[in-house]
Amino acid sequence: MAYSDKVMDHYENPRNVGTMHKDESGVGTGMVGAPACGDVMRLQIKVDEQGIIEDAKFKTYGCGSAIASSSLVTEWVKGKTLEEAAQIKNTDIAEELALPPVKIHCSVLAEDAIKAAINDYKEKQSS
Amino acid sequence: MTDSIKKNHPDNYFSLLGLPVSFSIDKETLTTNYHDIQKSIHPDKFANATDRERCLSVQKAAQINDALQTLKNPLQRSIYLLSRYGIELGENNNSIDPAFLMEQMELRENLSQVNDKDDPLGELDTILDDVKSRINKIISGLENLFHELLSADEQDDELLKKTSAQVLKMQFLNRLQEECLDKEEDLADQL
Repeated sequence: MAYSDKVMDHYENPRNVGTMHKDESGVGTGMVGAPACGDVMRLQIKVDEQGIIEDAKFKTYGCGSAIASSSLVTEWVKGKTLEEAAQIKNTDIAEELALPPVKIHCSVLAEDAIKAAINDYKEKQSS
Repeated sequence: MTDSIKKNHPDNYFSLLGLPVSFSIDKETLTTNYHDIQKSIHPDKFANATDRERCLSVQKAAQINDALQTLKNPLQRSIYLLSRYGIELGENNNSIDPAFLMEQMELRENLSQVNDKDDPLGELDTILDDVKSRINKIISGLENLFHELLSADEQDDELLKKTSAQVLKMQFLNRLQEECLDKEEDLADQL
């Protein structure tokens, strides 16, 4: 199956690959996985005092579509508020990357990852 | 569907192959029974039979094949057992323990760095052994969990959840094992 140009671009030049220290204040970590294909995705955000996402990093082991989906999300969330970032829908990701139906679950994984990261950040703030 | 039907349905893969419904199976009995049944429905035996009988025997042979493929593999066997309780493990699942995913991430990381090591194949073997022992640990846990599930009088949802979680983990580990084996092939090609 051929990947779209946008998927190839993110796959060959993934943006924001890396790790943040998960215990650092302001950092939220989302870990998600897709058992059937064995994909694992870690998406992290660093939130400033105004509640704006100032940085995002990801690390994904999986197919090109999963890598591209998470790479795209880290680009999108930078500069957004938590509320705005939580609005990102898997359908937006799938549309932007022109994912075929069999790869839609990769975009779902990326949406789950950003939601999990936001939740983790909020839990850390409230504790 | 009542529990007794679920466990003893005549068309289920276990009874097709003459085995009790259980996660722990005797592999030898499984293959012996499989070959015996295949022999008894061999097309040669139906040379003088009616079209209908011949057709049924072909159907049966296909069914028996499916049953064998499903039951001989621990992951497929456990997915099949869960499906009998109406549980389908989806593509995405948010209920996976983050600590487990973190571990998977580390294992993947190690696997991706194998090529940079002095002894890539040796390193890979260590990872593969580790993955295998994790799978075996889950399998022996599943033997107990399924035994409890199947011997319970009423459906125990908590127990089902616990069992599903272990099966999901096995799914990840099986994929990882496949990746290790792919890597092994790649490395062997380079030698």
